[in-house]
Amino acid sequence: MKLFKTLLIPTMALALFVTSCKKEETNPGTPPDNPLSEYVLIAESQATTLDYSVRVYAPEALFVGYNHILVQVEDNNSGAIIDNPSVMFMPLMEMNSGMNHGCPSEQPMYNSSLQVMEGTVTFVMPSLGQGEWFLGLKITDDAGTSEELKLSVEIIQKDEPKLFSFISATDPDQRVFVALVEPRQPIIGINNYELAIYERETMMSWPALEMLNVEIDPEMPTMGHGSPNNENPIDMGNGHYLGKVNFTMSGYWKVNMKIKSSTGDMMKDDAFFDITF
Amino acid sequence: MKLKLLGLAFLQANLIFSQNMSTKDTVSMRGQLEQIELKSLLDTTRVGERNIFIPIERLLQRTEGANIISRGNFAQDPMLRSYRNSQINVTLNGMRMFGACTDRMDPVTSYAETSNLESISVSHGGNADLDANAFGGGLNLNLKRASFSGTPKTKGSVGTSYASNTSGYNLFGQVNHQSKRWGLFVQASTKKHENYHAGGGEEIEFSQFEKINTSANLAYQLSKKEVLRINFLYDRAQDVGYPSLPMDVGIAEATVAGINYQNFQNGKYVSKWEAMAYYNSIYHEMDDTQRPNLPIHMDMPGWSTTFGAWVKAESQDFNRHKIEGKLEYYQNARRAEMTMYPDNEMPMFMLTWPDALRQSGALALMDSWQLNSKFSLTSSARIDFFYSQITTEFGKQHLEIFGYNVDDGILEPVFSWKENLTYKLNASSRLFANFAYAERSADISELYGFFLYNAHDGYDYIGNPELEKEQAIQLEVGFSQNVQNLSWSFRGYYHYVDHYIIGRTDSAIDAMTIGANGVRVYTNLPYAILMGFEASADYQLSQQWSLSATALYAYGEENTGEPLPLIAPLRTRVKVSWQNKGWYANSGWQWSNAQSRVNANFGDIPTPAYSLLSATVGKNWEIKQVQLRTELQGFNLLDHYYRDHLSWAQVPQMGRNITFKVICNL
Repeated sequence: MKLFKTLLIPTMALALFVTSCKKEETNPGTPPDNPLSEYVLIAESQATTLDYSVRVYAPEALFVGYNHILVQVEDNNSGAIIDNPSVMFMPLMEMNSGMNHGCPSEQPMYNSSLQVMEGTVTFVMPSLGQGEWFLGLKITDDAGTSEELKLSVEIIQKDEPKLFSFISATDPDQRVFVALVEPRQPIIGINNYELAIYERETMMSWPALEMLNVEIDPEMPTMGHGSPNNENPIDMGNGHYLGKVNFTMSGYWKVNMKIKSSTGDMMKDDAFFDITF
Repeated sequence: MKLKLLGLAFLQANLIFSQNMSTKDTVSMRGQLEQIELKSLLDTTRVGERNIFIPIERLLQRTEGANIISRGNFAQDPMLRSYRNSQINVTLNGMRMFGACTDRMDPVTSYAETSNLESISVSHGGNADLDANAFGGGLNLNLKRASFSGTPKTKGSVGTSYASNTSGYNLFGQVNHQSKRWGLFVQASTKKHENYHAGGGEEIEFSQFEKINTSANLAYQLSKKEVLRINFLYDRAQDVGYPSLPMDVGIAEATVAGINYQNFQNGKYVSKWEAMAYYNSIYHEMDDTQRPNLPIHMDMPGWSTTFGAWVKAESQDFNRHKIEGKLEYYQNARRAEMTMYPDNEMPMFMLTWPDALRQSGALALMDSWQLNSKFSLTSSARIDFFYSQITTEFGKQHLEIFGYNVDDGILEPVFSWKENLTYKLNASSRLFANFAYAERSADISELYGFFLYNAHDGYDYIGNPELEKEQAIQLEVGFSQNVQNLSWSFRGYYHYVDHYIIGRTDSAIDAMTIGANGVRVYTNLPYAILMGFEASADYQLSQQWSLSATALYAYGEENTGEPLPLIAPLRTRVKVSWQNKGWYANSGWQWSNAQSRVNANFGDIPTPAYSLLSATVGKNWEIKQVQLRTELQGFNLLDHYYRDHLSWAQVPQMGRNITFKVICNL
């Protein structure tokens, strides 16, 4: 192919045509046997009442922060994967102190190409030493029979935190949790910068915080420079805020953030995420 | 021999000069650096044995209208009438070549050596000859070539020189084998110089360099009227200091190969034609490890790969016309990276040339028309199609940060046209006038550069894919006269450059380079004006004595009246030469005026006047079959401490330097 181009291009140009040498897209190839092969199997369980096998996948090991979670339900009788099963996430932390709490989650929707239910859970603390995290799953079949599964999961703390919490400067009773959704794989260039922001209303109630104003200011602390043309994340609903962050080079970036209430009162003025790539 | 001359004439792509070949031969016999008489279009400077070991850039400085920008004692950047960088076109044997350094540490001239050069051709303004879409001027380095001989013979030369200022040496050796059908020329040279010392003895740190250069030319006579040549050149410089820049060069390496076919068939319509295909690749690696107080260590490698082909033909005379044409294609791919290594952190990486590719196809035509015994008109026109693009998604993502859409490439036709009218007043005098319209498409740095640090003004530069092409109206008039022992010439020019490309400060973008003043984005000025003149005179007092003088003046301003940066002041040179019975000597005085028309915004500072005195004495010996040349040369004899206006970052130039040279021809 390369040789072909090498010969073709000068020939064409000599005929005074300067043509774009567009890259020919390579055939994506045959799909892999298992469409979930790129995901990590987090847990497996058997539903006894419903006679289902349940498998939980994630793009990577579960961590403190915003996690995509994929649940596949298989009928043990037919061996078939069930299309669009009814699955509900009920994450729960049983702490060593005896106190239990939940965490924010987004209930799963059916992903037909992967034949999984896909949702998110924002774990707010690591497992290690503090207690045990469970991913509660409530599965209901077509007949309306439900079964709750309680899968023990290990939540790790990443070296570079993907979540932080703070007490709002405007309200000492309001604890706010900010998770970094994007960029998951940062590039040199324009990156989506997406946050998911929740508050802890009660131990079991973690609603999304909407209508906030978020300002970002990325910098490379080592070099003392920032980057141009960033866009502040704006409210997309459900606690999601989407903007753009530009990285002019790889390495260690610190994305500084100011978080303000809907009325513009400063809730947190020195928040940041470290992003190294 | 005849064939060789014919070939040379053809290579230089200027039929007008073929009639001057005898002059050229005389010049070569004298071994002098002289210019061919007719100066209206192309100056060809022969690089004789006398100039071996003299840096190419120093030779260029002696060429009318040429200047050099220096960033140290190595790889100075050529400038033709205040045009620089990609405004001028530098080729090697007609091959396109582009440096691999984003900071212009390796202009193409740095990959050749005077010991392997036959001649240097310089043209001014747009479209003066077929070999270049030279917006502001063209520079072609003609490499030495193999030749043929009825009786097979092999000749060789070796030589060495020592320079006191840099405790440096140069060495070269060459072998020239000639036979009826085969010719082979092989050359190798090496040089190594330590730091130079400014006038008064101040050592200029980080100005050392070492370099090797080899080249070969194999020629085969396919038939009496056909010659096939294969060129090869390898050049490698290492440990090169750049005192004007924050870092040095570890390796600068070029590999050049070309194959050339010449046909002197003398057909009914076509008198001769020639075709060439070539390839060259350059690798350039900066090195900051020797520098003290380094804020952060970084690697900055760069790659530049070019291949191309052209075919050109020359018609027979018909109705006082002669037509030449050239069809050309080339493409140049460039990538440059920067990786910084902070302590205890991940390395930081970016592309500074983000995988850029530029393709060009062109058609050039030139008609030389002898209207009558008095008037001749040379008309030329050229159209180039440039297609520039970033070839990788990774590279595109860099530029997208600035809001540019670089998904698609940029196709730009570039047109140039020139009329040269020469009027022969009488046998000894001629008057000429040139009109040219020239265009230039922005280059890879100007389109796609990503934080390219300019040490002269201290800004990081960012490309702009939305740049307009530069468009110039170039007017020139000249007069030359040869009366008996006196020959003199004068050329004056006025260039109006629309959309002149320059950097504009963008305070919204942070500089990437630690300590930089800010960021500049390439932009088009409404217009700029360049003008100036060159004058020269030679006077042969007697068989032994001769006098020569040159003057060079340039003026440049932006549309606002603000001076353009890096404009040389008035310079003059006077030289007296003597020769007798194999002995020769000369003494030259060069004077550079003060420059107070500066653009401080672009790093210029006023420069005081300076003058330099140089002298040479040498002797050619004939001992049996061996010809031996010994020469002693003194540069800046008064050891003046001076700074040239075109040297970056206020680094002073070299003080007194005495070189001793021996060349032996076997």
